[in-house]
Amino acid sequence: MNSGKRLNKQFWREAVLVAAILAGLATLARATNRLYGTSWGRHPAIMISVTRSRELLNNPGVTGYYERLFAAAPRVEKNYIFDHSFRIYRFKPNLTWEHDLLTTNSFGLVGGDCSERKPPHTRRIALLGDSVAAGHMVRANQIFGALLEDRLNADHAAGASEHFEVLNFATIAYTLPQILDVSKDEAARFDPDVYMLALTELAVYRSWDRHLVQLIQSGIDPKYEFLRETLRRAKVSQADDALTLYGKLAPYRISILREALAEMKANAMLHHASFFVVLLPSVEAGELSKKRFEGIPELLNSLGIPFIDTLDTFDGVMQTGSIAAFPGDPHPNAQGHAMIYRNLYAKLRAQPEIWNGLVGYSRDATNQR
Amino acid sequence: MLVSETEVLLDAPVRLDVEHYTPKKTAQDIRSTPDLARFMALAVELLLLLAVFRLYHLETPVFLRMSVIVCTAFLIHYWIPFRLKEPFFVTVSMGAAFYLLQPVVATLLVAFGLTLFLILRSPMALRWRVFCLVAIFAGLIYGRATGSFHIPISFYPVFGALFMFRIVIYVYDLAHGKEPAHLLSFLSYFFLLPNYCFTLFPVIDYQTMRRGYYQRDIHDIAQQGICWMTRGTVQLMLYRLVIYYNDRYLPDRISNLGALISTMVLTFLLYLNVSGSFHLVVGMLHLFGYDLPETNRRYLLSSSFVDFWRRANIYWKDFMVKIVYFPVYFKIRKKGEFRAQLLATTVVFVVTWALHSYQFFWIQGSFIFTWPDTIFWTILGFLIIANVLYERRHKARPDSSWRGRAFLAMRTLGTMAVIITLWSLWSSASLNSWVYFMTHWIRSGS
Repeated sequence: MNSGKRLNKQFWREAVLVAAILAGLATLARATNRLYGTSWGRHPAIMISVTRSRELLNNPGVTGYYERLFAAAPRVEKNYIFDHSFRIYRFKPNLTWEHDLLTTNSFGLVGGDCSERKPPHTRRIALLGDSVAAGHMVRANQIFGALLEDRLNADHAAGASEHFEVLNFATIAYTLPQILDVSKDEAARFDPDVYMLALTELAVYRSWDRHLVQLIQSGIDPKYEFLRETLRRAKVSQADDALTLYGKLAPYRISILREALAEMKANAMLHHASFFVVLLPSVEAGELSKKRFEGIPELLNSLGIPFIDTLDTFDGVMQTGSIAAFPGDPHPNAQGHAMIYRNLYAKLRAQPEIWNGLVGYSRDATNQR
Repeated sequence: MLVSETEVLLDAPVRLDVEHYTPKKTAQDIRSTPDLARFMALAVELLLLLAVFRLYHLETPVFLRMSVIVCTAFLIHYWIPFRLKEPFFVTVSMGAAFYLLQPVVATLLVAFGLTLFLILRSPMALRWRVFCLVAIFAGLIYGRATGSFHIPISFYPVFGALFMFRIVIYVYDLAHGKEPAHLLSFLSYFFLLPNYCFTLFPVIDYQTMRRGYYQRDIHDIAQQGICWMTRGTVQLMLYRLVIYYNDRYLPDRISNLGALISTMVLTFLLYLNVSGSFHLVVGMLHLFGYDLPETNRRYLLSSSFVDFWRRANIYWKDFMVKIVYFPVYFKIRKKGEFRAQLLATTVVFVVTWALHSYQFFWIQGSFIFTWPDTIFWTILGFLIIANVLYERRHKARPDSSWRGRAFLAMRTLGTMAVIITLWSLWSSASLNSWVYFMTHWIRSGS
């Protein structure tokens, strides 16, 4: 009898405790936005948003035994051309990829058709980058690059007779050496006036050397002298397994990024074009994107490359799922792209040096306006 | 004859011979007696739990759907007569497969499950029944490895999750028990609702599951289940914080000893994902009267290697003890107690190593035989054997003095330091990358 009473008491004690904990957790989740707005609550709110983030689970840096057990197998898409070249793969031309909402034109560039030769009275902007700039899971006209093009044309930013054209050279999962190759080998022949490099954490953080590892394992020539030299110094071999290669390349991250960026700048100068970088956020809780870019602004400054930092675009978005392409995905959806575009445009206007390069004003013309 | 045959198939409590059925309240019946107030308390807790799952985007969207089914099923299961409870659970579990998985995968699972049951229930000698099972598994392994048979690739991880280990336990219990295979208990053992979402699943013991069925009052069992689900939820949230803090440590950013220690500890804490999901799984089964034991118990406080083996993934330890340790030990005990212990423990670790690769195969499609994996299990095996030897010679006596407590704290710290170091090795995909990871801070400092 006593035992029954004791168990009953224990039941109620546990029930109340569990209900209180769960109610507390639910309240915290609901109050995150309000908490973020207070002077003392920003950090706790960010931590709560981290505990709510599903995107975080797709983190390539999490390499525990059990994470490897559940790692998704890489997809070999039928929408790419694999050609054993330096870039390894590229989009097929005239593609309509319903699953990822991706279309390519006859040149294999994201978006609608264009001519190789620049039409008269047209200012061409070559958008370079990876899946975020390519608009993974977003329609071509909703990508921030396309929104920027629309805005520049609507505002007649370079005068009534001048037309803007943003050509999207971005390709899913490209890292910086591949993007460099696109800018030199592909974008240049379209005679762009501006090279706009959209840089995400993919190119500068955990996965920065993914392409190099594939190159080494496939026995493909690294093409660029600075890459050849670095691979020699790192003592990599085709026989090394992927993780050994990542380990060997790790110390060369910053130096390779530096060389690739310097070469892109030199390429733009060679073609008398402007060059600037946009630091793009991914959909990540806890302002992870900002943390992953640590050291990159300093690197750009040291190279004299102007840049626009849009990493603060999603600050204060505590419910990252609302701007993700799909739950758990770090790519922004159409709403996320619109936010990036608005932030980018505002910051472009606020930085005359980059703005002038973009729209083609001389310094004097800017002063007159 | 027909009735008794069906009766055997469906387990003893379910009688179809209604005319001769005399209602008699069994102990389990009494333990399942409803109580409105306590039911309401459990229902409120489950609602709050669902809200937390949704607000914190726990696991995958399929997990949320599965949780809604579990909670709704509990609300019905609670009120129905005891004799219908297990058939109801099995029906919901099997039906949910068609909702949570691709229909073709669910159909194949049911078809293979029933085939396995029919083989085990057949009058053939046990060795022939085992031979048939092995043939089926070999065929499926071939299919998984080569992509043959036009079976969807998503079928294999779920099939593996349901059958890869539990079938071993089931056959073992069948071989050592007097009862033939029963359909209801077979289905309730293999088609466990949470298993469709969690392919990494605790290796539940068949006898423990049967023995624990309504072995206490349902309110106490369910309440404990909800406590464990809450604990699991909190652990899965902490797991995300672990990932968040671990994110900053790129190999080239581990530039001092502090960073190395931090990332090693954080790498070990990734295990929160496993322990959290195991708590959730077992907690859910508690709602349906399966009074299963804890899966992980305060493993961060392990004071010796044997203690760690007993606290982390307890079901695995029990599985190994039952299927490997005892059979080996009893077979060679006559040649000496010590020798038997030593050899049985060695075999346990060799089998554990091999079965982890086997598990990797069902989930990822390829076996994993890497140096870090092999070295990890070898060293852990040696440490545990050494620990067993030490414990044989030095019987530990509880010491509640300050000195004793300080010694225990030091021992715990030392044990966890070694475990965490070993874990970092296990988590590395190659030996070279682990060496780089462990030594980079020395090179970057010089």
